[in-house]
Amino acid sequence: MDIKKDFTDSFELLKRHREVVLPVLIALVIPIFLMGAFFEMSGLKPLTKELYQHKQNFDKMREGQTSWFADENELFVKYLEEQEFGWEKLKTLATSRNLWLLVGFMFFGILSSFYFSCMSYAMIALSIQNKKMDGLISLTNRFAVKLFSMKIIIMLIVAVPLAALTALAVLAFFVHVALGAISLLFLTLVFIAYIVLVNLRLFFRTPAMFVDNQGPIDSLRHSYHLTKSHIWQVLLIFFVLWAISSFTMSFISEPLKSALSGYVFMTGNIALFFNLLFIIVFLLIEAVAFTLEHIFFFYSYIDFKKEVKDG
Amino acid sequence: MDSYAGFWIRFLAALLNFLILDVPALILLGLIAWSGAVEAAQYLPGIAAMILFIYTEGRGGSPGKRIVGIRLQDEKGDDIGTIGALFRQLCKVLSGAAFLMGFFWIGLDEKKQGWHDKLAKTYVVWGSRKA
Repeated sequence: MDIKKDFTDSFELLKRHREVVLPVLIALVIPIFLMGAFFEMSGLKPLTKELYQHKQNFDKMREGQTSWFADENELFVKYLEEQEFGWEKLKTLATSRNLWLLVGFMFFGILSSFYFSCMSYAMIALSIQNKKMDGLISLTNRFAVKLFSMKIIIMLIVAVPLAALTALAVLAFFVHVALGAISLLFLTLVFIAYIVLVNLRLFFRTPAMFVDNQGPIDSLRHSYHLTKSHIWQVLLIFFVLWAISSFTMSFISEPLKSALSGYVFMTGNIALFFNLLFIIVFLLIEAVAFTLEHIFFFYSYIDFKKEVKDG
Repeated sequence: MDSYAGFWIRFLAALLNFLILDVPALILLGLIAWSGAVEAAQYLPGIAAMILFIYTEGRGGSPGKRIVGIRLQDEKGDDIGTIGALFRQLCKVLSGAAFLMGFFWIGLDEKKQGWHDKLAKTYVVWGSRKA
């Protein structure tokens, strides 16, 4: 396997098909918009803004006084009480309307992220195979149903053994407390090993579905057979993907989060302008990084499959 | 045949990189924090230092490597380019994740390659960049 080539090929594909970034960008933007809308519509924004200002003042006051032994959160609560912060205002916002609003926005946010991630996978698969993007929506719809079905199967693969092991542990507790404690520890280790194994063996389920246009069960079966006796290579690809994620997290997601909280809570036009600028720039870079991660995953699958085939 | 650069000289180059790239970035970060600018701006010096590092690595080697007289190259002896340097940088996460074993490997390997070098197919050799 040539992982370096997979990575450079991913960059080349991204350069040729810049449009593949768009669904990921939409998947990132929608939850941000929904969060902003929730803050506005629920009436939470002025309160959180006030809380943020208090936190800024508290941090300034505590500068140089922090110690390992002091509980900063406890001190902050005390500080808020001294400042006569109105906790009762927070209670008035805990209404059923706001709760439904939160549930609705979260549901829509998750759904849209899932759908646009699916679209991104579909576009990447089409680009890799040099196919035209005609009928992308209907293709995405088909894949969304398949991917959702696969997620349910995965959930069952995890949940059924978990339920069985929990039942065993409970049974052991009924026999004897010590036996219960030992079996709980043992069964937890067994479950962790099972989860790791399942994730490694079914690692290529998503690219198998999109690149080879397979159904949910066939993708799982294909990944399971493909990874047999090749766990080290799967681990290597997993770690490179993890490295891309942690790199993105440190250099892109963290500043983005900081700019977002600055935009929501800070006052002043200049601060707002700069935070907005940072949000736009970091959102674009984050979308590119996530797309690159997806493309690399797909390319490494194709490369892995070829190597297994060639023996 | 090129002579491969060992662990200690590369460690020295890394220390020099820290002084040349990271220390100014830390000073800038402090100044930005002190000036009361938007919080997100505090990440910029670190990002700029990383971009500069990757860019120079792709063109023969980081400033630290150049000062100590070693260079970074691919299998053919050419520069690895920005994408190659970015991939090598990502692979360093793996070298560091296993208790830095991937870096200590440089001292044990015949061709003085760390894990990140093996994955990125790069070599660090004595001498300056090709004209």
